[in-house]
Amino acid sequence: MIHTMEISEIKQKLNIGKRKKQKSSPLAVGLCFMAAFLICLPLWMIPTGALMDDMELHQILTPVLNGSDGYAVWHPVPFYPTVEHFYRLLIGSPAFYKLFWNSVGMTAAILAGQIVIGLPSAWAFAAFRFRGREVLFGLYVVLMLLPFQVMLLPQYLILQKLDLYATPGAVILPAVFSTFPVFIMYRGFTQIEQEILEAARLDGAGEMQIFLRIGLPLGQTGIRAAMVLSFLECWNLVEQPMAFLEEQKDWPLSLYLPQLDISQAGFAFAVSVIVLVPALFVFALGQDALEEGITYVGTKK
Amino acid sequence: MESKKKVLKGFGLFMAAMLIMTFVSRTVYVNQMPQVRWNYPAAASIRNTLTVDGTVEAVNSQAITGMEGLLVKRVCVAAGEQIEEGTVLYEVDMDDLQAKLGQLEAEEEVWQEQLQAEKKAAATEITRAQEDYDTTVAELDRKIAEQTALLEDALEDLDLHLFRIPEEDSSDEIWIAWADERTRLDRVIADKKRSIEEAEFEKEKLLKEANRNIEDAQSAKREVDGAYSVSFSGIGQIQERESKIKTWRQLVVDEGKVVSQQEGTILEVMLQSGVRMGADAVMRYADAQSSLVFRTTISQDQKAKVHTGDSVRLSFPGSSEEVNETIDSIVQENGSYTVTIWLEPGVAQGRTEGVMEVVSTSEVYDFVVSKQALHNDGSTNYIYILEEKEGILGTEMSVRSLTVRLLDQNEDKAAIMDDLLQSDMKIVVESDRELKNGNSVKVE
Repeated sequence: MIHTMEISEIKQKLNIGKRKKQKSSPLAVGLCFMAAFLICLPLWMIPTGALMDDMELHQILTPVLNGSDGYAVWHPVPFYPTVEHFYRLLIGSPAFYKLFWNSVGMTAAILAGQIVIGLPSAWAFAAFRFRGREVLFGLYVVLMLLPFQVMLLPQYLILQKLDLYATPGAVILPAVFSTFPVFIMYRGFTQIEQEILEAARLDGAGEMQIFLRIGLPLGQTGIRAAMVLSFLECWNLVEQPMAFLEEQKDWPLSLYLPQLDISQAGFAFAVSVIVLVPALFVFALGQDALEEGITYVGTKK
Repeated sequence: MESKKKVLKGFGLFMAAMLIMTFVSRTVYVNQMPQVRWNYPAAASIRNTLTVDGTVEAVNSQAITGMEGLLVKRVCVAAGEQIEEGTVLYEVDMDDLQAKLGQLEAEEEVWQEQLQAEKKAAATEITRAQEDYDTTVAELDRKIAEQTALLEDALEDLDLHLFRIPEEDSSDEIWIAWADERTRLDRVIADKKRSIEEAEFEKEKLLKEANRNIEDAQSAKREVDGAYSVSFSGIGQIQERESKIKTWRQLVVDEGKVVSQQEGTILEVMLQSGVRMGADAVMRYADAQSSLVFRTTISQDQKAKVHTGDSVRLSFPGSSEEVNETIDSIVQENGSYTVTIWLEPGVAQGRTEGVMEVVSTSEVYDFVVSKQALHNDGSTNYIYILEEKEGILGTEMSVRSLTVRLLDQNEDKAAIMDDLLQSDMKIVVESDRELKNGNSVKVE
């Protein structure tokens, strides 16, 4: 209840959901539609390309492939639609499934690790006041801001020491300790009023009880938002697997597409469609939480 | 919340579908995967068995010429058949023989009549020549005798005239008259002598001519008597006709059956029933004393497996006879090689065809594989090496092609060589499907 009130207050402050309907000019609407069209065009190319046969794709992509004069003119609707690429992908490509389940496993492990490691960290930052908290949190933020390339060598050395290099753990372990979900979850937990926590303590609730009974239910939006963002990040990992995994059998699905050359464009489009599906499901499941989570990031409490 | 449940349900269904499709895809993949059997290459020698067909030939075969112009009624022998002296080789059509013989005899009769006429004419010619000779000789003898008599008269007149020499004191007129007379007599004597010489010369000349005529006439008569016609080209025809008549008459006696003159083996029959024979040979045979040879032709590749002096086994189609012989010679002829084996006396009698089998064992090669392991794309030989491949699906067995040099081979094995070839390489020797370089495979 309190949580709902908090959200309503925030929304009120940000004027979300209470905007007055304003009459838009046709020009603005047209420009918006034009921009939306341009943004969505690549997305449209994925399913249409997956349904085109190789001959049509070759015809379209010839100027790109040969580097000759002219432009690739995309067909909004395939002239010769075919499900050949999907058939080949779904029936004749066991390697795709191998990498798909690698990605599923890797993502699940990372998310589980982040729940186990990151969630208590975020709660600690949000619920407790201790010496060096600000410094420690600052370090978290700094770590969050550091690009992967900066952390590559230290991570490599540590993974070598731990004998995790060239194993899935080399990707999972650093991701488990990612600070970004901690930051998002922390922001979610900070939305809980300290008075509520104090009241619970006065009522004799232990810290674990407070975390489980109050923290988790009230901070679930932040947790979900963190998980959605983490899922999307993990599902699309490219640099970490390329840097830390040597054997193809350990690769995630995100490295499958780079293996395909342009002559397999139709197949690559079909792969893209299937790769998109889990991300779309997760996004649909966590869209509301994601929106709120993003607002937490921009809110100072 | 309801929509979220639907999304969650959809997500679950998607994951379930992916799980099912994983199994389906893996099953299809495995089922399409070639199943192979492999083996290590072994050091071994290649045992080659070369089997080639050949012919059994007589070293001195003889031809039997046909009865030219006669019609064959039946051929009584076949190639490879052993014949005795008196064996009927073939029969001619008796009606045709009788007709042809009658025709020849009629021609002979006409010719004999012509010959008699020619003989008679020749005899007459001789008589005439002799008569001319006699007449000429008589005439010339008479002329010579006449001139001789006149000469003798002139000589007597001269002697008498010399005896009547005038007195020394006789007048000049007398002396002139005497001298004139003497001169006349000398001239007459000289004339007569010259006449006699001319007559003798004429006689000699005419005698030569008459003698030549007589010789010509006698020569013509001799020719006629010798049954030679006036033209030399006819001699052969007459002799041939007379020979034919003689042979054909004997053939009539033999009821048209042509028989062998000696024992031997028929090598070839070029005769067919109902065909009129020409002047060519109609059969070829080897007599019993003739040596036999086996001859066959081998290619350049086969030559590498066969050497002079190699032991070979010869067998003969349609017979259980098998003999061990030695290759006597291998001669190159027009890009191929002719193998000759002289057969022991009594071997392969009555045979015209044979099969030569040579078994040779090569040196020991380092890498010998099953023949099935060796592939050829038209220009190069290659094998498939089985090795582990790390891929997305993990460690799989895959095949890699390796071009090799073929050193030797037989029906089952092949000796190969390549710098990259090692004895611990797993070589694919059998596959249930066509392999391609890089194929993942199942190992049996």
